[in-house]
Amino acid sequence: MTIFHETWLWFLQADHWSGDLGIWQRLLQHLYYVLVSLAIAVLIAQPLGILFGYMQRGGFLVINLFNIGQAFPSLGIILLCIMLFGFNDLPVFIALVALAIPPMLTNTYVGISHADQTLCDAVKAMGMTPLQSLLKVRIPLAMPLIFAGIRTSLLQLIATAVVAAYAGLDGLGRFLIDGLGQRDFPQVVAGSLIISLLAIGCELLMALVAKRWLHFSVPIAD
Amino acid sequence: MIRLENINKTYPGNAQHAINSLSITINDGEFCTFVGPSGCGKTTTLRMINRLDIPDSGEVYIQDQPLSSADIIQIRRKIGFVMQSPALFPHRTVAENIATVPRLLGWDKRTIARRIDELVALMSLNPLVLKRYPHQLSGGQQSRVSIARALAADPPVLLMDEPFAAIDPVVREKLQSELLQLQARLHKTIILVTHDINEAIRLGDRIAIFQEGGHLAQFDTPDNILSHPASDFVRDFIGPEPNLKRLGMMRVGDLPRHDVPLLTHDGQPLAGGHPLLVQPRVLVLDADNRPLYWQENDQRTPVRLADEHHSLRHVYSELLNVPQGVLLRVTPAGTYAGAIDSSLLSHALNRHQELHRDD
Amino acid sequence: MIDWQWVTDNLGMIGELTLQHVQMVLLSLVLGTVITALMLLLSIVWPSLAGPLMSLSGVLFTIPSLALFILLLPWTGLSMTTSVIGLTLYSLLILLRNVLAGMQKLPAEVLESARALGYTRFGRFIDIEFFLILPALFAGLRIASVTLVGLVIVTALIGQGGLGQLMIVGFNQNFLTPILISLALSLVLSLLLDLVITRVGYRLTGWTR
Repeated sequence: MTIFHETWLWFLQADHWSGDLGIWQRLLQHLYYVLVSLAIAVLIAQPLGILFGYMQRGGFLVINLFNIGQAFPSLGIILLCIMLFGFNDLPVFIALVALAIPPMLTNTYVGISHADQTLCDAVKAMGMTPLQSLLKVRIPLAMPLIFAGIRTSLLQLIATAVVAAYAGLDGLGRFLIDGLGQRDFPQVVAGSLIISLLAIGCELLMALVAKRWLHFSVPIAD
Repeated sequence: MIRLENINKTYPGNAQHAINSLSITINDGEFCTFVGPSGCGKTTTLRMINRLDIPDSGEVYIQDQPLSSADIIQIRRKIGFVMQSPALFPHRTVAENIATVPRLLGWDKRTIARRIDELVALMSLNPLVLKRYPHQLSGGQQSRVSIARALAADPPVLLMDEPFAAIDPVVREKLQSELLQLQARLHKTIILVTHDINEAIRLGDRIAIFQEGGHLAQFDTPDNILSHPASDFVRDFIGPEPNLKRLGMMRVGDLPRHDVPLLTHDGQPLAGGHPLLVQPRVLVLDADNRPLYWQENDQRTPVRLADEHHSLRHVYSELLNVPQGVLLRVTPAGTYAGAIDSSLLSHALNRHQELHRDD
Repeated sequence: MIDWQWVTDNLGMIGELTLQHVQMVLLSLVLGTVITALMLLLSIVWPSLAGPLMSLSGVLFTIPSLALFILLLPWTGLSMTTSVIGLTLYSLLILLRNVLAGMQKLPAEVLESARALGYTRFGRFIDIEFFLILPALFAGLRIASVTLVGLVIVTALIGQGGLGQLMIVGFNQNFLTPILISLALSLVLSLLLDLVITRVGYRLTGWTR
C-alpha cells in the first residue's frame, strides 16, 4: 500500500505543517468556524430550549424542526447561503449556526420537559419557587441530554465545516477538496486522518468532561 | 421425586448470601412451599431445580437422574415454570403463548387446539382472550395465562416463583383457591416460593422455611410447624397467634359431632345420638329438622349457624359474637347437623396435636 | 427564485439523478441490514462482542462522512464502490447502535421465561428476540434512511452524488435553481422513505397496538 507510505511522507514534510496552507493554520481556521458557530448556537438554542421545555409548549414544533433539520443535506444549506448572501464569512456562519441549533434545541427541550416529574413535584411541595426549581432541579436533571445535544452539534459542525471547504471555506476541508482537485492523494488521505483525529479527539474530550464534571457517562447515541 | 443433595452456592461479590449444604427431598404429588425472608436463597434453590441457576457443588436429582448430566432443554420442557411477572411473549397471542411448549415438543395442531380448550376451562379463562395480545389483558388474566402456559404440556412438575406477589389481595385469594382446586384434580408436584407465611400455610402440604444462608430451618406440615416450631427463628417467622392460624386451616367438617338437647316444634324431645355439650337451653327444630330457636324457660333466642366448610377460625370469631356461645352446624340443605362451642375447638386443636404426636 | 423552464428542460437528468440517489440509499440500507443481522448473531454467540462493537461503531460514527469516504479511497478509489461501501458502513453504524440498544432493553423476564420453558439459545433468538427487536430495527431504519439521503449528497464530492450533482452544477454556474430543486427533492425523498418504512414497520409489529 504505497499510498500509506506516501501519506506518511506527506506528514513528514515540515512545510506541510507551517505557513498559511499548513496543518496548524488550517486547524485553527477550522476550530474558529466550529467554535464560534457553536457558541452562537448555544446562546440561541439553550435559552429557547429551556423556555419551551419549562412551558411544555412548542414540543411538536421543536421535534419536527429537528427532523426536518436532519433531512436537509448540510452541504446544500451552505451552498444555498453562499449563493444568496455572497461569498464571505457571514452566510457560512448563518448556515453553520442554523445547522447546529436543532440538535441542541431538541435535546434541551426534551431534557427539561421530561425531567423526573416526581422530583419536581417534591421540590414544589417543599416550597421552591418555579425559578428555583428550574435552576436547581430541572436543569441539573436535564444535563445529560443537554450535554448530548451540545456534543452532537459539535460533531455536526466539524463535519459540515469540512464539507464547506467545497464552497471555498478555509479549514481542514481544504486538504480534501484541494487534494481531490489536484489528484494529490497523499494530501487527501492525510487530511482525512487529521479530521478523523480531530473528531475523535473532541468526542473523547466531551466524554471526559461529562464523566468528571457531570458525574455520569453520556451515551454515545443521540 | 425431586432431591437436592448438599447444595452450595455463593453469589459473586456477595460472600454473605450463600447457600450452605442444603439437602431437601420433595415427594411426587406433593405441594411444597418455600418461604423465608429476602435473600435467604429460596428463589435460587427453586431455580436450581430447572437449572436456571447452577449450584457450585452438590447435585439436583429429578427421579434419580442428576441434572448436571441430563439434557436440560428436554427436562425444562417437562417442568412448568411461573414467575412473579407473567412474562408472556408480547408478540404472540394468548393462544400462541399457551401453545409454546407443545409446539416445542412437536405436538400436532389438533392436539394443541384441544389442549388449549382444556386449559381455558381449567383456568377459568374467557375463550375470547385467546385471540388477544398480552398487553390487552388485566393482571389477573395474565397470571392465569402464565399458569396455563406452564401447564400446557401437562408437566409432572410445576415451579412457581412468587406468582401472586404482584396481584391485588382479592384476586390473589381467588387464584390461590383455584390453584388448590387444580392440585386436587391434577396431583402434580408443585413447588411454590413465597415470602408470605400465610400463603405458604394455606397452600402447602409441607412448608420449607428458609433462613439466611439457605439453611432449612424447618421442613414439615403447616400444622406441625405451627404447633411445634423448631427454633426461635421459626417461631418469629410464623408470626403471632399460631393457634388462630391453625384454626384457619381446619374446617367445621373436621370436627367430631356433638349435640345439644333437642326438641321438636311440637314439644317432643329428640335424641341426637352424640356426646352432649353442656347447655341450659334446648334447641327447637322444625318439621324438616331445621333449627328454629333456642328455648330457655319461657325465653326464646335466635340461632346462629355455621356450615361444613367454614374454617374454625371463622367459627371462633363468630362464637365471640354469639351470647349463648354455641353455633349450630347445618348441612347444605339447612338441616341440623350438630353444635359447636369453644371448648370443642380447644379440644380439636389439642387432639389434632396429639394425633400428630403419635405419628 | 426557481427557473421552471430549466426544470422542464432537464427533467430527464433530474429524474436520472433522483433514481441514482434512491438506488444508492436503498442498496446501502439493504446491505446494512443484512450485515447488522449477521453482527447481531455473532454478538449472541459471543456476548462479549457487543460492548466493543458499540464502542467501535460510536467512534466511526464520529468521523465526518467525507473523511470516512476518503479513508476508503486507498482501497477502492473514486468509484461507486467507495460510495456504497461508505454508505453501507454508515447505515450499519446506525442500525447496529439501535439494534444493540434494543437488545439491552429487551424485557429480561420474558427471555428468562423462554429459557425456563425449554427454548434453545438459537430457538429463543429466532422465535422471540428477533421479533422483539423489530421496533428498534425499524426506528434505526428510519434514522438511517434520512441520514443516508443526506450522505449521498456528500458523495458528489467524490464523483457520485445523485441529487448532489445538481448542487454542484448549480454552485459552479452560480445558478440557484438546481440547488433549490435538489434540496426540495432530498427533503421529499427523506419524508417518503420515512413514511414507507414507518408503514412497513407498523404492519410487521402488530402486537404493539
